[in-house]
Amino acid sequence: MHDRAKPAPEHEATDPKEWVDRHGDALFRFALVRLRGRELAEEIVQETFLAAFKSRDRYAGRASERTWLTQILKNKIADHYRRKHREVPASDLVGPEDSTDGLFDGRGRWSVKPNRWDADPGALLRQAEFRETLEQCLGELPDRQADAFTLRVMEKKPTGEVRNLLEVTATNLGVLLHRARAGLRRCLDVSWFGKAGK
Amino acid sequence: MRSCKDTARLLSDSRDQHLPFMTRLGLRMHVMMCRFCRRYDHQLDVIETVVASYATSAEEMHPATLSPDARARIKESLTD
Repeated sequence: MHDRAKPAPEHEATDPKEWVDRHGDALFRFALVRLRGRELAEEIVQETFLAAFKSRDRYAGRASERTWLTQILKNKIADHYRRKHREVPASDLVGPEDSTDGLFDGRGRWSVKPNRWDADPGALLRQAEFRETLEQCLGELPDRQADAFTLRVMEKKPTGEVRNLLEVTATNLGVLLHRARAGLRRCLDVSWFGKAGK
Repeated sequence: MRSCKDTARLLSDSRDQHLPFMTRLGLRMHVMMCRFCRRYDHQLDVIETVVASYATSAEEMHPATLSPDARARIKESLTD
């Protein structure tokens, strides 16, 4: 989240148009993985720069420019989720998509047994191909499951906050997260770990 | 004995909330004895780790860039 390449200067010159060249791509990527859509990510990044522009007098230079902008972006992303889920009808809270269908037999035993994963998470992420597979698998999750999973696992928000943002009960959130994990696990199992030579 | 289906659900829940002592105990017992639930538990760990680092490293590692149009539009909007 911080610019690790160079230490943050005490005080940075702030021509707002330069912000876009200096931080635009990083903020866009940050937004893209959390919102799963180019257009939406661009829109939220634009909102972020605008909000920063309007409140630039209050930026004291205590945090680095990047940290300051990223914090605004995080708030904009949370706002987006809040807005989005306020509009969803209450009958549609969990949705019919259940990635655990067919995973177990009638007596609750594994019918599709989990394969062995020989995985070192750090090594996995250094492979561009794996990152693409992960992005694709996240993109295949049903929308609400992906949203719940993003807020909980990427953003590490407490469950209470996720419930508020998504306007779901504790039970429904549990169902969404369980299905998201199972779906993502299944997708990675098939698209990555199940393939020879990986 | 709890089923694997219920165990999988609880393995997810255990990552989001504090489960009652007896539930946790039963869960640990099942996972200890069941190879596939053990794998599932491990794989959920891998997923949490990988997804969290994917998100925190996106700024540097993701290949996407802001489109020239968006870049121009945003700059344009930053005027009083």
